[in-house]
Amino acid sequence: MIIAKPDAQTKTTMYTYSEIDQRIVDERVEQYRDQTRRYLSGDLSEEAFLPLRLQNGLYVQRHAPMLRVAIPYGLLSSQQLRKLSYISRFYDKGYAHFTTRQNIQFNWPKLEQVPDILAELASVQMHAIQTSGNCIRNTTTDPFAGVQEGETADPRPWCEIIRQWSTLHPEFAYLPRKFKIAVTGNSETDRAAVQFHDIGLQLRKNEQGKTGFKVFVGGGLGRTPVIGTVINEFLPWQHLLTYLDAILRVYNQYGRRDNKYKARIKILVKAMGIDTFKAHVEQEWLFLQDGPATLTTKEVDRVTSHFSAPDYSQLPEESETLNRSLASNKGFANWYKRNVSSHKVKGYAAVVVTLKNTGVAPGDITATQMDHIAQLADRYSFGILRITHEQNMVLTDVRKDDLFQLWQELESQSLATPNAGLLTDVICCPGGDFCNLANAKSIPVASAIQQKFEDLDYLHDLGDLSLNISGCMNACAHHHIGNIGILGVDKKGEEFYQIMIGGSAGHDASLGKILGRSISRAEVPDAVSRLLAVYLEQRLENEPFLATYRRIGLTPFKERVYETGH
Amino acid sequence: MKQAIELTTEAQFSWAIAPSEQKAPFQENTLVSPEQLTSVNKEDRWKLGLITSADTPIDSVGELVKDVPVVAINFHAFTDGRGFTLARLLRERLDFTGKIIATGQFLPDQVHYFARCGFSGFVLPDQESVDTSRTSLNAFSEAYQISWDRPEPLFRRM
Ligand code: HEM
Ligand code: SF4
Repeated sequence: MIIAKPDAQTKTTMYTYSEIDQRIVDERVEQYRDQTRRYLSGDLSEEAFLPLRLQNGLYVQRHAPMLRVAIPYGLLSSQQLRKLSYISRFYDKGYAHFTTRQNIQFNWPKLEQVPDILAELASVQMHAIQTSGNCIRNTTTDPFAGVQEGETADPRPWCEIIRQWSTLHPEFAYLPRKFKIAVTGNSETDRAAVQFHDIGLQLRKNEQGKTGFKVFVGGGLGRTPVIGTVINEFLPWQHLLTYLDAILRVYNQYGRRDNKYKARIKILVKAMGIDTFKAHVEQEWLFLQDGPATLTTKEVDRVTSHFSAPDYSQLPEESETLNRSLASNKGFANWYKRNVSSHKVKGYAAVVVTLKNTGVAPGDITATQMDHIAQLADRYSFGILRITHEQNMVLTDVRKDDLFQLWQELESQSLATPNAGLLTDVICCPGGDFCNLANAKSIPVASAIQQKFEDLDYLHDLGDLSLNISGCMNACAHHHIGNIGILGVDKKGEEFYQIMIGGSAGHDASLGKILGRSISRAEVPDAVSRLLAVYLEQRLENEPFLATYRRIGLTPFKERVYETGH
Repeated sequence: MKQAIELTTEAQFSWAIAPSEQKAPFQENTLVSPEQLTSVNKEDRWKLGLITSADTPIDSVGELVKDVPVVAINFHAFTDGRGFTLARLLRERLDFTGKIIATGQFLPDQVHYFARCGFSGFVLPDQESVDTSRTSLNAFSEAYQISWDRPEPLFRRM
């Protein structure tokens, strides 16, 4: 007779809340409900309510409040996506927006309904805790975590451990400025841009085969883009949380609070110098190291057990069905070429669903599309989805045999644009259409570029090319690390755009260089087309844009863009 | 280890704050600045409390706090999160067992974070803030991290 162990857990492929996790989120909803009530009844001033709503992701923007909801490390179940769809229909205008930080934003919620929205979210184990404000934000990671070759270890359990540690951390809720942590498990390809975060963690193994982290500190974009510096080459995993506590404590004490543009940790690290900064951290760590916050095997195993591999079937590597469809359908083949990537399990593939249709704000998704994608995730990918920092979605575990059918279903919902990683897969912030801080609009620029470069053969020929557009120097769309970056600037009250090239978010991280004087909105598509012409003329065989730029430098591009009368 | 939390209005607060220009001697139950406390004989300090701002580095008051039963941390702005670290270091590094009181500009809604970092008293502008603070203190029944009130993280207590 087989008796189920009383503590036997049903198998999960993502973290599911314990009773305590749920309680903390529920209590947060009630706390916020009370704060909102006091604000609406006039007991709480605008000024006092501001930091409270910010720590729950509620901004007040150009048209209405904006609610940012955390999608921890970009992982989402179909059930959660259906809830987001429901929220966007019932409480908003039927669509939502994915950000570059694996969050989702609702642009039109009513302030008085936000507590109800938070309660809806809590019912599917989601929240908006610390999605804005000067605190530790949602931790981000590689959207292909756990499914692609080349990973040292799966970053997701570590992200969850960090999520719990950072949630309502009593000491670090009022930092000098916001604080972002990213984790990658892949030492070859960094799809989490860890070197552009306040803390970047790269999982690695040392010579003895032990797991730990290479720790970067002080990276970031915004007004002062900086590539992170290594503060620890190998931090054994047990010490992750005490070491994070030590870094945060040094930052909390010494980070500048007099000028918000100089308040990020990157400025502190630069001002102190990495050696002094590190000495402070080590000094602080002496007191915390090996203390009670040291991680245990039991805890890491507990969290890791939530991320079990789904029940993959035993399949051959090659799929006959797939090969036949590829040979007979050009549209499908184009999509396959760009939007499908490899998988470590034989017979499976990962699929990028781009949210970059021409004429729609990049990252926007309608409630209907959410419902459809949820259904497709259930049918084809074990009910799990990922959000990428390129503002797209990924179905990570699709059978190769099913790809053609999946593609047809995506097509019917305008979700099969074959442009993942191409020029038209534009990364773009809300800009002047929605954001109070904007110098210029960004969405119309994205649309104009997508319209000008529609020809698929041309786009595929260009190959991997990232284009990022931010409406001001806060750099929400990471324009410094786009191969082509476009920044909205204000020139005597008029909207202008600065163009830069050569940025990269990966392990070969680099910041783009500014081409020259800024140009008007109407001139932007033509300028992009001139940049591309230089590339196509100069590239060597199989050389991507970035490599050509690195080889030939800025000048040929610059000369062409500012050349007159042709 | 855990102390009863006292919430008081400014009017009820039993300690006086010495004006900055005042010189020793001070009356019993007066909060004095680090400079003022330095000028008081060691054996007379137990009647007084220390008041210092949230941005004070722990090292500059490490010696002084040994002689007093109360440290008040004064906030010039509720955004000054240095006060949280200061309280934890007083408790966890210097083993300060007296009272730590928050004064000045902070929000009643922050009180649960303060209490977790080692504060045991709060001086608030009015009765309404006292009531809000009490709600805030009871807002959460669990916490993940170690802090003064929970020396072990949740994962070691499960
Ligand atoms: C419309 C409302 C928004 C406002 C008011 C806003 C505001 C800001 C500000 C002020 C900063 C600079 C902070 C600093 O450097 O200290 C910033 C940075 C950032 N924002 Fe936004 N943002 C908004 C929407 C978005 C969206 C939609 C995205 C994603 C597409 C986004 C992603 C980011 C990222 C990734 C950064 C980090 C840059 C860095 O590392 O310094 N934001 N935002
Ligand atoms: S980059 Fe500027 S304009 Fe764009 S969303 Fe961020 S703050 Fe707004």
